[in-house]
Amino acid sequence: MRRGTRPAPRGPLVLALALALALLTLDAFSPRALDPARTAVGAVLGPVQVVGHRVVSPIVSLGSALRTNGSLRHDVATLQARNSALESQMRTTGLDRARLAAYDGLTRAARDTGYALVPAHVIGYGPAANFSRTVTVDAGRSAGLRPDATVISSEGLVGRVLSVGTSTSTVLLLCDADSVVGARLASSMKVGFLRGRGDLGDRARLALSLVDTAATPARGDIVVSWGSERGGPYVAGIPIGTVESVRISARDTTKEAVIRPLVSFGSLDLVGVVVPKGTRSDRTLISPSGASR
Amino acid sequence: MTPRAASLIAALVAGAVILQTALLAPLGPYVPHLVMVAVVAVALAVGPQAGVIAGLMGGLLIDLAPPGDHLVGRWAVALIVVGYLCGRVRYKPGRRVGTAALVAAASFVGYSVFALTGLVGGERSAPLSAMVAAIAISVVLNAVIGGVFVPSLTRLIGRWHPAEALVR
Repeated sequence: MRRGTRPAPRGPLVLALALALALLTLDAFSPRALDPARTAVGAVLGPVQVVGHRVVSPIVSLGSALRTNGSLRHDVATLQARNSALESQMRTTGLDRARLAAYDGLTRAARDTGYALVPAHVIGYGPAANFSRTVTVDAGRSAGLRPDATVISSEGLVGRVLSVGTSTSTVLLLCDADSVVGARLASSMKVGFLRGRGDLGDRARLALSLVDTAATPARGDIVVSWGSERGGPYVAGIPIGTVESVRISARDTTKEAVIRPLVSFGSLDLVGVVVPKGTRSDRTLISPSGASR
Repeated sequence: MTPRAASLIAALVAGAVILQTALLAPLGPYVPHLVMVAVVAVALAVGPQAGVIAGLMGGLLIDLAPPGDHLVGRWAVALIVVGYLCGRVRYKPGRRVGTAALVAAASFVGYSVFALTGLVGGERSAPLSAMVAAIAISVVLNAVIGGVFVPSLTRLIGRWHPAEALVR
């Protein structure tokens, strides 16, 4: 017996270690064997642990609440900001997509028609109380616009520029009751005059009266613009609409075709104003080659 | 050892297991090992034989208690060794610092044996640096708890078991 230690028989130690190691080996080689014992101890300690957890968890969460309060506030603020950003992004996704499609269409229109276009957005409709169907676009003299320039969209002819300001212009829509466009039937090349009826929405229709009263437009015929000298006010060959029905007036033996316009006048956004090539503009022109300058 | 003393010691170890699993386990990963501290107290107060038995009992209970995340018997082996070694030390816990140092040494042995049985048993284990850090933190916590409670615990056990206490 050394100093500082007590005499100790090794028997209990060896026995206990042997037992523990036997259990260890048993658990290592057949993990299911000790499950009854685990279950029994768990059945006793489980409820106590539940109670203990119930007692301890408020204390623990209090500590962590104090510890994380600041960072949680920061998280909430960050997430709120991100959420609102994403929400606004989501709300304008449809608009962005529509605008992209409109630009694509306008580029295609420029290529198809062979004219240089100034892109412009419709920023306002003229008051209906003025009894004229006009829109305001966000391009004016500095963008290269001149009065009587043709305005088209990716769908077809929209109207013509009525008056030009520095940065905005007024466009007279085809559907205005005062609007008269020289038009021709694409199938028979018969010419006539297209008048607006003053409607704006989906019910907007145009009236086509052919110069040759003997000719009868067929349903579904495409109507394109006829074109004037030097391209003003309307350039030639821009699609306008399709023949919806034909009315024959027995009294004066004229035939009037009702044209359903290709352009939806009530929901105009991006339009293109036809300008001569080489026009000086403060914005990028859409040129017929499809390239922007 | 009288049956009464034995049952009181068993109750002490079982109480340590309950406190350990119910109140300390929810607190977080780094908690003192109350059962180990109780085994140290029993071994110091009574002797190696009681230390071994207390270690076996407490270790097996800890091993079997949920969550059973290791092989049964690992804590038993570790605490048997701790109980035996502490039982052989002739030391009357009086000063807190000395007791704390003893508990720290015993805890180091206990955690090391536990870690070694894990290696031998081929159980998944943390990287060595993390293991060393965990052992160091736990040893310090055990030393603090042991320094505070072991002296009064040994006095309490000595009262239950006067003969052995007088021998010392």
